[in-house]
Amino acid sequence: MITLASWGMLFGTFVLSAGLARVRASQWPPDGIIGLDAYLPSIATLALILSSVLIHKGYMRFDKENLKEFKFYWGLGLLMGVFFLALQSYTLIDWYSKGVRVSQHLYASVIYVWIIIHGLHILGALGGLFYKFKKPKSAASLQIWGWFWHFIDLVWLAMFPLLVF
Amino acid sequence: MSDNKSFQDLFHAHDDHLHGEPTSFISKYIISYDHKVIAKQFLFFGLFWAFVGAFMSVLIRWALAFPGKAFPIVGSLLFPHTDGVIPPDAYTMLFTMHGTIMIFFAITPILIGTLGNFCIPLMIGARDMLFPWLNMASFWMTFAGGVVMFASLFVPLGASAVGWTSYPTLAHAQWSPGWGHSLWIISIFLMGNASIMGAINYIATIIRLRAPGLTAAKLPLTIWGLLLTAVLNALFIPVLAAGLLLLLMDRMFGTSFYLAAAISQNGTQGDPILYQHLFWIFGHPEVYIIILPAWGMVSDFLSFFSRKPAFGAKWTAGAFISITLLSTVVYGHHMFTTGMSPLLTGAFTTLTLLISIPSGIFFLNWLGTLWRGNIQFTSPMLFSLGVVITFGIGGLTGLHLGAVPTNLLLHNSYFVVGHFHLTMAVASLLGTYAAVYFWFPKMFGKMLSEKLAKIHFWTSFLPIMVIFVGMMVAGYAGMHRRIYNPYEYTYLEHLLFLNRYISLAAFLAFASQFIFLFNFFYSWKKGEVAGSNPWKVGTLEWTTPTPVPVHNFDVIPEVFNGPHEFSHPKLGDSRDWISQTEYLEGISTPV
Repeated sequence: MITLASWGMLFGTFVLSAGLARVRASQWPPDGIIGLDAYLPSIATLALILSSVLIHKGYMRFDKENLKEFKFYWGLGLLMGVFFLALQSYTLIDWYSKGVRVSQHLYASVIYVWIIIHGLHILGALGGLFYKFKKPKSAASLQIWGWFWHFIDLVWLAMFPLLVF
Repeated sequence: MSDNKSFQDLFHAHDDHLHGEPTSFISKYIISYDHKVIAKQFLFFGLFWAFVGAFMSVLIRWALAFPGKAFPIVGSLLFPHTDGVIPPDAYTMLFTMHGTIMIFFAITPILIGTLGNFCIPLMIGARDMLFPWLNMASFWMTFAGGVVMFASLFVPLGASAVGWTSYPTLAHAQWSPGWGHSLWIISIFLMGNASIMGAINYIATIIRLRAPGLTAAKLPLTIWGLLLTAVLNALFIPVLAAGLLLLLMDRMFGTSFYLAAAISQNGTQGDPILYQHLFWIFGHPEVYIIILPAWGMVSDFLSFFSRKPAFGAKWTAGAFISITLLSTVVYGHHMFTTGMSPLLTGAFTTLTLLISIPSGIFFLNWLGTLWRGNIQFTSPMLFSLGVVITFGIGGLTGLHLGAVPTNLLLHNSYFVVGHFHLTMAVASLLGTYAAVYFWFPKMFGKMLSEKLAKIHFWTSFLPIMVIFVGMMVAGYAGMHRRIYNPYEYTYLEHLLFLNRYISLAAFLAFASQFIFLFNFFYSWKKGEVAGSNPWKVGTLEWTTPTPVPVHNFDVIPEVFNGPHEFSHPKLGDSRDWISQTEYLEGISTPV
């Protein structure tokens, strides 16, 4: 819980700074820069929400000692997470190939930096979830990774409208 | 947390927590999981950096006392291009690194790293921290931060020279080129991560591993101080981390989070003031992070050596909690001169001055503890009394800085330097010394020489008062901080005498620390052997044998008494203290 509060402050700071940058800007996205397409990130967001639900279902099955269904739901949730990360990466790579650079404008800086930092946390969390998929030891350790996954999902839900639209 | 049982299994709490005796040199002293060894690692790490930081302050004081004169003996080695005269760019680097090193690499490792690690498990009756691995990782990450910071001293163009606050736009690559400041950011980032890991461990340990019967009211105030420090650490270092990460992006990838449109390459609206907000959201809690453990320890020591229960101990703990809460909402008083709206400055002034109420409460409790006590002037007591005095003066001068009208005049003057050194630097330094003198017998099994300790105290304390009260006078007279040679301004010329006086006191205070170092190493080897309870106090760490075994307690103790049960009338004449683990009818409360 304390760890999550600590992380919450980290992302809280990021979200706040992005909000400030946005409120102060006269135009968002600004002229002369290719805006981020909202299509793929929206699908990614849906995948992420679904993944959170699946991970939670998986945890509940494990708690009832139903290992087979746990593997099914947890694995599916894991795949959804990977799908999210792939879409996010593709979005950024596509944007980069269109010639948008991180130093070009505050708008681009915010999107690149925020999505990459969040993506790194997603990557770490996926690692943990995968490890627990292979070796589910105790319900409590699954719960902790589950919490972290839900937390990092919530962070994205707070960032998504701020960054993409 | 519905399934507490499985949590305990997961973290193998309490009874199955006996880890075996380490055998090899590496597992015993280097990659150790034992909180007592980690505490000592932090201690030597901190002592090394404290020496570096203190030597930097000597160089700074030399430049202010004898501008344009070569620093004696080692000067020509350090500054070969100027024949030993400290050049202006080195001067800015020195005060930046002095602040950074003292805060992040001297006080934090010793006061929080060493004493937190050593005291928390022993004082709450636990066998180790809840997460020993995290504890070990925390030290080595701190060490990595230290290595990066040390490396930054030797890169081309020199170490960071933008002030410990690292304000943009000066901190940007255009104005602070080279690797110095980038390494500074990376180092603080590592150090911050280590602090968060430590803090999570401290909080979890104090919440979950207290011995049976050790309720909040029976918790020593030391532990209260360390707990609240850990809470602030866990919550506010991430804010600094985020702020510094963006600054690093600005420096390395050409973004412009902190650059206003007029100076950024691409003409976008970043905001340098945003950094100041993020920095001080962390920065103000940071001063309490540093001082809270010292307050807690001093509250305990005053009671231990007055042989009296701590006056209003519950109120003291309550005051600490309310100060912790208030400290999170007053950061704006560092930024009065940024053109804040008067509505905000008014709010921040009010909140800042509110802190004086809980501060007044615990200060009164300190005096109440001393009043009519049977005071023993041992070395921990002397240093604790030193904290009472320096913090008293420092705290009162804080009111001038918290109020907008006087703040606008005194901002960035030597008055500020004097004030914050007395409150957070010297008060926590003296608190640290008190703690080291107090727990040294438990850590190393030997007594430190009381005679040398007393010489050390008086040769430190008196010069310290001269230095920092002198600085406040200089600030009142209009002397700005961070100026290489103030005497180039005619209105500051007459302050040369005062500054020489301060510098001489500083050299004396620096020299006096060698008495401590000598005492430390000499007593470690040849000191008088300490019994298991040389100070005759009742807290749990003194119930263990000395040297403390790896698992601390053979049997987890049960706690029946508060930490400050001294001179209880029912004890009779034979002794004046009772251990927290003794059950005496009429004094103790059953578990």
